[in-house]
Amino acid sequence: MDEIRNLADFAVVLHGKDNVATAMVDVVAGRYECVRDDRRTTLSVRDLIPAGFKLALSDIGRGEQIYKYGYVIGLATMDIKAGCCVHVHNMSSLV
Amino acid sequence: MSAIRLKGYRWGDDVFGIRKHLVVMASVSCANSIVERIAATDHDVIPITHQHGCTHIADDTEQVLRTLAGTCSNPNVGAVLLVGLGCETLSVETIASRMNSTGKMVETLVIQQIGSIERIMDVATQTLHKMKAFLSIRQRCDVEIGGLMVGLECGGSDPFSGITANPAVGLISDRLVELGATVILSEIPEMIGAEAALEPRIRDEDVRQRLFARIRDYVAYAKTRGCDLRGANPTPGNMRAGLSSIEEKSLGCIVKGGHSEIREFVQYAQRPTSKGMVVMDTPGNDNESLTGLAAGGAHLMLFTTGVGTPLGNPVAPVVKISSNTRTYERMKDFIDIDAGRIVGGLGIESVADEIFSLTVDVCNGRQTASERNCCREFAINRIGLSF
Repeated sequence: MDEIRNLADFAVVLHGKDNVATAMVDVVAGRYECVRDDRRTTLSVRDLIPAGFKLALSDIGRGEQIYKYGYVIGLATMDIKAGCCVHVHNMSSLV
Repeated sequence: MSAIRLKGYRWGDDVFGIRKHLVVMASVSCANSIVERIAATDHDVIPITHQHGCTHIADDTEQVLRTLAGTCSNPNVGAVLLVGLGCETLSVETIASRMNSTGKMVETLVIQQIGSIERIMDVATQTLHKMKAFLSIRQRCDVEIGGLMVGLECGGSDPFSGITANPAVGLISDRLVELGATVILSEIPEMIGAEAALEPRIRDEDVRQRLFARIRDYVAYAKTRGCDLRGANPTPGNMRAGLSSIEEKSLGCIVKGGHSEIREFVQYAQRPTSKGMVVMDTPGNDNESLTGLAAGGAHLMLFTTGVGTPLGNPVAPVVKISSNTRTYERMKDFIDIDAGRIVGGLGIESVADEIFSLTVDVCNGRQTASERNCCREFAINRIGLSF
């Protein structure tokens, strides 16, 4: 449980503006170090994020925009904690 | 970069193909079985049949005509036998007169005029003999990569499409544009929600307005049919794989168009006049979109896929690129390149280099998986009712 993994080995952040990362392989529960713009943060992932799914890089409040590829892909429909899966259960398209 | 050597078949000063196909095409669906029977007599013949050619009107007729004539005009076609019934809206003469037939051999055959099946087959056999003789003396010669037209397509996307295969193809798009070639991005419904990413790439106000109006048309159409796009696209399969919104799907989709300026917006099956990046008005339906791209003059198409598909085209080779290794391993016979290796740490640049080198090889004659499998789907995008 104390092991801290490097998030970059498991997930990819596509743009500096993004507040989600996409799992390239399954991201198992545990603690992950994330380095962005020379800033280190630690994320706690409580439940497995399957490959292909997104996880929040920071807390995202209800109604806030979700960024991927540097652009808005939808709005949070509830508060999302950092490290949680971001998908149709807690975000919605703006179209 | 070392010199790129392309060898193609030159039909005219500025027209070259990468294949020299012999096509037998039905002008109307009533001629389909006869076309298939003629093509069955010779392995070198590519039959093209479809459901249209009659009982459509106005702009719908124009679109079908543009597609049929455009397919025959594709630079990979060296000879065409048009087979008509005789009473259809789009006669063989109408299609032939709309073709760019520079340097090609074009013949017509009308079923009602000839009458008997025996005589139809005799006439067809003689015509095919002449055409094969004509094509046999055409040899590959040096051609310029700047004259190349490449279509882009994706089908059966997954969350890796926008991270592996599409960015790799995006690098190829930019490279081809730099080399003076034409690259066509397609599938308007898969631009819904990605307008903010497209906008900075469009300088021409007319292109921007027409393209964005067309994207809005699709959203409006879905609404008038009582369909909430949020339930339909991403598809249930897309969502099970992790895609959460149409914006996310669209943004991942347009990545394959790279970063260069979008200079022209053409209708379905319309030939671009600009070099560089062009958008064609095609639907997300892969089959109809590929048909439109080839009818617009694309020499070949780069097709990225998440779940895998055998789709090809009768006249233009389709290069299949998988977004993940699992799909590639399962469907190797149908896929040319595995971009999924990017997940394992292979650089996007390396995969792009492979795609580029394969593209050059395919131009020079190497068969793609879709060609080896004789996948030759043809489907025209209709815009109206049949009467």
